[in-house]
Amino acid sequence: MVRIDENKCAKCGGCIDLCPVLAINMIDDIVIIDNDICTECGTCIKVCPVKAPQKIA
Amino acid sequence: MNKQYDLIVVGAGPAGLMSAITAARGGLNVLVVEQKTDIAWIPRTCVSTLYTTDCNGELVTVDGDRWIFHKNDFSIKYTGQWKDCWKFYHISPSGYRIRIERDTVPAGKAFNKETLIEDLAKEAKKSGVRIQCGTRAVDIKNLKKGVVLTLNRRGKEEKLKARFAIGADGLNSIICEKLGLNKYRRSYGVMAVCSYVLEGVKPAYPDTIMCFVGKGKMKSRYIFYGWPRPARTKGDKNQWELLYTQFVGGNNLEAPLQAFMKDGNYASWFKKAKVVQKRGCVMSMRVALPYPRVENTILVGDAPCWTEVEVQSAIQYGYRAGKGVLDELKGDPGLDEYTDYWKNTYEYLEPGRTERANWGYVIYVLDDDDLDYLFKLMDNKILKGYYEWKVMDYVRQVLEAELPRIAKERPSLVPKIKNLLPPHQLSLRKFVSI
Repeated sequence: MVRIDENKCAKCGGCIDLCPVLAINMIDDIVIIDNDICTECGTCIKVCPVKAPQKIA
Repeated sequence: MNKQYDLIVVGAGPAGLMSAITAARGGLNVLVVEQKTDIAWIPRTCVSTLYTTDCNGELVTVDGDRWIFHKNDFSIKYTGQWKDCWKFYHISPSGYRIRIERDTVPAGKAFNKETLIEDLAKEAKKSGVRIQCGTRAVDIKNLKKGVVLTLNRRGKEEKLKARFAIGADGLNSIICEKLGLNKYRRSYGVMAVCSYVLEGVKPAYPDTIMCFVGKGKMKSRYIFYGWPRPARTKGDKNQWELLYTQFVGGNNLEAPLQAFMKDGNYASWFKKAKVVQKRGCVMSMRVALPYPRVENTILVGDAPCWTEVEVQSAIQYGYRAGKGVLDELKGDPGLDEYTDYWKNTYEYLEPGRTERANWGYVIYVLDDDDLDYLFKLMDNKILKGYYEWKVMDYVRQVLEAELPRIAKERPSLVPKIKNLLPPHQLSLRKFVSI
């Protein structure tokens, strides 16, 4: 499961754009990963400039 | 919502809004969809500066509260503030500069992008455009006589049809992706950008856009940009933005920003600075599209470009895209007139052109002493034209012209420079991963 730390998130939208399965969206201006769709490929973790997405158990 | 739109525009940035305004003024029924809830909030880093020289075949000047686009003969309203930057400096670790300075007109006029988007959105609504926020386009299909867009709003999907669509969803455009346009676009990699909007910075050079290069006291070589920016609200908040960029590699970019402010060569400027906003950007750097169209859909702004098309060009191309749709509906080949215009004016269409524009940056892989020497060579010359990518053309010219002098004064540098200058192809990735 991957969760975005809202305190770190700069809301630049990069992870939203680059997620290969479109699991990430901006809802009411908060960036949220839909873990039903997420495949844990790690793209969002790799591209985020501020390291906001984190893999949690 | 069963209403059939003439045009759906994906993305409420400068390109999307201008396309919509232009089409709606011509009588079309236009919908703009935007994923953000607040259209005028810009969390994505953007060096929002109006360049006062020719840019992509257009010249923009400011008259009161209007930007005048001279070649295309239209104007837009901007009610926000400005920070006129009369100089643009690239600065070496010891403070030597590549200097661009203008006296009759600023090198760049920094504007507030939030206010610009607000102004464009107001104009769009006045023209009858419907703007639907909190809505993200996730798929697009061209039909025989139209398009169908799949939209996601708060997790729920709906499909909407229109006669035409304009993909104005910026870098990493999903419209480009879903239309299959990225299949043959060479990618140079993905760059991450992080910036701090600061108050209380005391730069040694006021009214100046700056690019800091070298290593100095930092842990590794860097490229930072810094520039003054006008606040969204009235009054001079003395805001300044510091930007750091590198290819993605698992690093938190806030660390170098903080290190530069605390321990870098110019730390004294940031003694009393405080961060008022953090912004970011992730750019998948693909070559530009020579033909930004698939059937009833055209691409505009950053979506079909290489790296960035500049805000003023986004508005210019948005205007032409809107006109293209209007003319197509009248029975003229409007969409191809738009793509022809793009092909004839966008300066960074040819992949080689973009590589040549960046070749000058390769000198930034040189060590601090070499950078100081080279910049000192250029420090007493003042360039008059300014457009970011053209600075590097100048650097390359100077290096070629000064080779005899460098051979006499600093022979160890000659082989390094010769390896960097054309005709040697240096991959972009190689120079930026510093």
